[in-house]
Parts: sequence; C-alpha cells; structure tokens
Amino acid sequence: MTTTRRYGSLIVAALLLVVFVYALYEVQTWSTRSRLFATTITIPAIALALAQVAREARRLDVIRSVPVEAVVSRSAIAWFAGFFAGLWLIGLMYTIPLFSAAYLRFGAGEAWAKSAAYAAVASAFAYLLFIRFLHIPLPTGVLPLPAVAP
Amino acid sequence: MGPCAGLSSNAHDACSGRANGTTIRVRKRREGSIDVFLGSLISVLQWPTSGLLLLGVAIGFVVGILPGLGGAVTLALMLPFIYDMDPIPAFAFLLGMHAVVATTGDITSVLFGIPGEATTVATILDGHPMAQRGEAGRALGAVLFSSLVGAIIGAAVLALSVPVMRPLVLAFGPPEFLMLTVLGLTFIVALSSGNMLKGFLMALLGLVASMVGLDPFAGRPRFTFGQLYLWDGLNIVPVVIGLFAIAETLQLMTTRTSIAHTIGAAPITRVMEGVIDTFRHWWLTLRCSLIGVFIGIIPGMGGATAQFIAYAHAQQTSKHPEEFGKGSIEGVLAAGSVNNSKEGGSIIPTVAFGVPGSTSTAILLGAFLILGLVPGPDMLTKHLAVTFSMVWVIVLSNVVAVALSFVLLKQLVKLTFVKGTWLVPFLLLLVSIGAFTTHNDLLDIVVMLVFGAVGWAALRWDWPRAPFLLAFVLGHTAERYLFLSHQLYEWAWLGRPAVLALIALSLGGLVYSLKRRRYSAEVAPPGAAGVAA
Repeated sequence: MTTTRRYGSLIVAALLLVVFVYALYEVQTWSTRSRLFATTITIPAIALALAQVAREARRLDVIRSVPVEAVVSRSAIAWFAGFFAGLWLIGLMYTIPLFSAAYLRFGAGEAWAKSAAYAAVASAFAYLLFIRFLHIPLPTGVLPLPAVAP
Repeated sequence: MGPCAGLSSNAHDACSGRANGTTIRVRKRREGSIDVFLGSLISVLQWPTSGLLLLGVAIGFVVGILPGLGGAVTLALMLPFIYDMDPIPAFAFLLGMHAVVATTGDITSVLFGIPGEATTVATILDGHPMAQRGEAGRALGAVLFSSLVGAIIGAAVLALSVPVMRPLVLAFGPPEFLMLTVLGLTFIVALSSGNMLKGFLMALLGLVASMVGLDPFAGRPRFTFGQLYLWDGLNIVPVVIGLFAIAETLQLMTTRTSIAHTIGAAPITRVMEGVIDTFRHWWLTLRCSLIGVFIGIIPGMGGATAQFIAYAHAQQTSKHPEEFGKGSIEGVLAAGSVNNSKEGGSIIPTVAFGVPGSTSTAILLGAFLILGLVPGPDMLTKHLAVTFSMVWVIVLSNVVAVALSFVLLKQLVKLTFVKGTWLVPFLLLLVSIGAFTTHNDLLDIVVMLVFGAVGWAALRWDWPRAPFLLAFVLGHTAERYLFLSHQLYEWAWLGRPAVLALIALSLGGLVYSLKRRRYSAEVAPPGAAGVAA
C-alpha cells in the first residue's frame, strides 16, 4: 500500500490560502456592487484556510494511505502527456491513430495487429462521427499538416 | 361548514363567487397539468427524442458495466453533445443514460462482487453470496426488477411533487433562494465529505472560480489575468471533465485491468424467480424505494448512503436478520429498489430550487444552463413539459434497460472482460473533443488539464471534489440572489422568517453531521478513522 506524509495536504491548504488572499486583494479595486459577493465569501475563506493550514501543520507526522484511485504510475503520466503533446503538435486526427497504436503496443503490451486494428477503428469513429456526421471542428496542431476534412 | 359561512348576504355571494372562481382555476390548472403530463409522454416518444433516449440507455448500459467509468464522468463527457439540442431530447439523452447506469452496475456487483458503480456497493453484500451458491439468476432478477419498481416510484413522486412544489417556489423571493443555495452547499459539505473544513474550503474555491469572467452587474473583467478567453468565464464542460474524467483516465492507465480477470461467471438461471420475489416482498420494496426517494431529495446524502440506510432498515425489519450478508433475498431487494428511486428524489430540488443534491445532478444543472433553462418557478410553469418529460424518461429508460438486461444478460457479462487500457485512447479522444467543443479553442483543453490537476490533487490528498463542483455551478445564482436581496432589503433580509428557518436547517445539518462523525469515531475500529465518507 502506498503511504504519504501530510505535506501534500498542507501545500494544498497553503495554496488555497494564497488564492483567497489574492482574491480579496483583487476585489478591493472593484465597485461596491461587484465587491459584495466576493467579499462575503473571501473573508470567511481566508479564516477557514488559515485554520486548515494550522491543522495540517500540527499533523505533519501522521502517515496515511493514498486512495487507490489516486495512485498514478509514471508511465501513465508519460503516455498522458504524450497524447496532449501530440494533439498540440499534429492535431487530434493524426494523434488518435498514432497514439492508439503506440499505446496499445508498447504501453499495454498488445499485439501489433490488434493495436493497428484499434487505431484504424478509432480514427474511423472520430472521422465519421465528429467530422462527417456532427460537423464538429477538431483541434489541429501547430505543425502545418494537411487538414482532415469531410 | 364552507369558507363563506357566517358572512352577510352580499359578502357571502362575493365570497362564494371567489371560492368558485378559485376552485375552477385550481381544477383548470390540474387539468392543464394532466394535459402537459400526457403531452410530455408523446414528446418523449417522438423521433428523434426516443432515438436519443435509446442511445442514452445504450451508453448507460455499457458505462455501468465497464471498469473505471462512472455515471458522473460519462454525463460530463456527453454534455458537449447537447449544445444544439432542444431541452426534451437533451434530457432524454442525458437522463436516459444516467438513469440506467446504476441498474447495470448491479450486474457486476452480483456476479463478480465488484460494483460497477459506487451506488451499487450494498448489492454485493447479499447478491454476490447468492451468486456463489448458484442463485445468480434469481439475485439478478430480484435486483433488476426491484430497481425498475424503485425507478417508477421515484418518478411518480417527482411528478406528484410538482403541484406541492409550485406554490412553495412561487412564494419564495431572492433571499429564500439564496438561503436554499447555502443550505444545499452546507448539506453537501456536511454530509458527504470526510473533512468538513476541507469541504467548505473547496466550496468557497468553487464560488471564487464561478466569479471568473465579466462582472454581470458592471461588465468589468474579474480574475481574467488579461486573457480575453476568460472574459466569458470558465465553462462547466472543461471544468467537469477535468475534475472527474482526467483522474479516472489516469487511473485506468495505471491499473490496466478489467473487472473480470480469470473469475468464471456464475450460471445465470431462475431469473423469473427473482422477479416473483419482488412481488412477494412488495411492501419491503415499496418502503425501500420511498427511503431512496427521500434521501435523494436531501443534498449530499448520496446514493451509497441511501443503499445502506435501506439495507439496514430491511435487516432491522426482517424476520430473518441473521441471513443478511449471507445471501438474503430481502437484502438484494432493499439495495436494488433504492438504486433508481433516489434519482426521482434528487431531481426534485434541482428542478424546483436549482439546488442539486449530488455530483450527477450538479452536472445535470450544468445541462440546464447550457440549454438556457433556469431551474425554479419556470420549470414548474413555463417549462413544465420539460420537467414532466424527465419523469417519463426515468420510467421509460428503466423499462428498456431492465427488459434488455433480461434478454442480453449473458452477452453483457462479456463486457466485464474489456481491459481498462482498451478504453484509454477512446476516453482521451472523448475528453479532448468534449473540452474543445466549448469554444473550439485549445485553451479549452488547457482549462480541462488545469482542472484535471485540481481533481487529481483533490483525490490524492483527500479533498472532496463535489462541493467545488456544486459551488461552481451555483456561484452565479448565489451572487445574483445576494445582489437582489441586498438591493431590495439591505441586510434586513436576514431576518425574514423563511430565511431564519433555512439558516436553522443549515446549522442543524452541520450539528447532525458533527454528532454523526463523533459517534462513528467512537464506534469505529482502530485504523478506520480518517477514511473519507
């Protein structure tokens, strides 16, 4: 079981405190009408965030288990980042087949044939449903590649 | 004695005339409501609404069984598809999908002892032992049919609540609506999160996030950091997808498993016996369904809580409490009947007051905003047909889902062998397109990734996500009602009787939650403390 000390929770509480203090600072330049709601929530928010920071600081030695659903492997993060880097560079319609084939083959250990078939089906699905049928524009990349159009 | 008795002759005539007029108006309104109710059924059955309903049911079916995908995540992923739809087809699609997720989630709970949904956990307690002793078909028949009965009861209560809610909603002013919003948030924080202080902080962060964009009163940019993109505010779609879908996708990439590994599915026979069990224990099914409805109405109690409360009630009132946990049919029926009855209940405060009771209904509230509908009085008058169509969608989608479950049970079980990794490219495609369609801008994807990080951090360090989402969705409404209340009454609105009652109710919720937590800490075994609810 993965365990962690409470530094992370303390950092989250401290970040929230910073956000609320910044919000209250920013609010001061607004008109009275605009300020009403913002002031009503940021002042108690700062007080509660301070209380939480103090509470977390007192319990730094407590070791707790990490929820199963929050355990993420480095390879998962790498593949995830790879997908969005591909989307930014070459656009979604090129990323989908490349990512599907590469991820299933090397990330999930599937056979080449299965991975390639999945990539073809996923691309056809995206093209037919989103481009041909729903006419939804899909993200294109920064690299000048030919556009996939109906 | 009539209401006009004891009055002078003229006054009596005038009074009885008014009384007759009122009676006629009430009767006409009732007849009008019945017309709208029946008309909304026809609307739901018309093409393409019925087709979208079936599509939603099909998606809900698969999502309920597949690993890692939750009903809330799928609702969020489907939001972008409703931009161009009319309200009734849009709700047929979304609600049709959402209404059946828990139904099919029960199948994996019974067969493999693994809940397809968090709200189907209690089904395992008796459903899985029944499957292990060769009664999988009977358990499935009972849980699926009691789910259907529960859904119909929940939908009926939703329909019957309209005439009760209408005068109440119409009597409320901005201060009362503001306090209802606060009440909803307080209940979500107090009842659903493990740490109340963290819950409040997440709710306050959600309120701050809702302020991003142009000030609705002065037209001044707020928290936009010089970005024109942010002038429109943060759209709910990338925020919801980020908060919920990103963390789940990353988790699928990490675990790489399917629900069923090498476990052989138990033989599925005697399904009809389970259906007959539902009738044999009709009084229990009815009681547990009503428990689901009323717990669904209370924001923050959640489906999992509802299941266990109904389960405990069934055990307490059973003649054979010793069989619970070992394969009791009553336990299966209690868990099954709550599953969908709570849906009708949770829609009542969402539609009538704009206060969602759960993450899923908060996302549905986002759908209201996308479709240009404002929950509250309009949903019970001008848009009554949309509200009634929800009733029909809940009933029809469950009838279709249960009928299909009985027919396709053996084939559906095969879905449990789908590996999580096979879903990953498909999910990444959906989350990217879902976020991007908001403004057709890559910054939509950046917003999604930022909130993905927020959602993952919240999961990692045990900060609840639901209060953030609810506050984010309710932020605009709360700000508008606070502004109107202040304009109309200064701070004197805080002394209005209904406002005071709602403040007392909010405080009552907090005190109850604190007491419950203290009690849980006292009776919990060592090591169990600190686990988030």
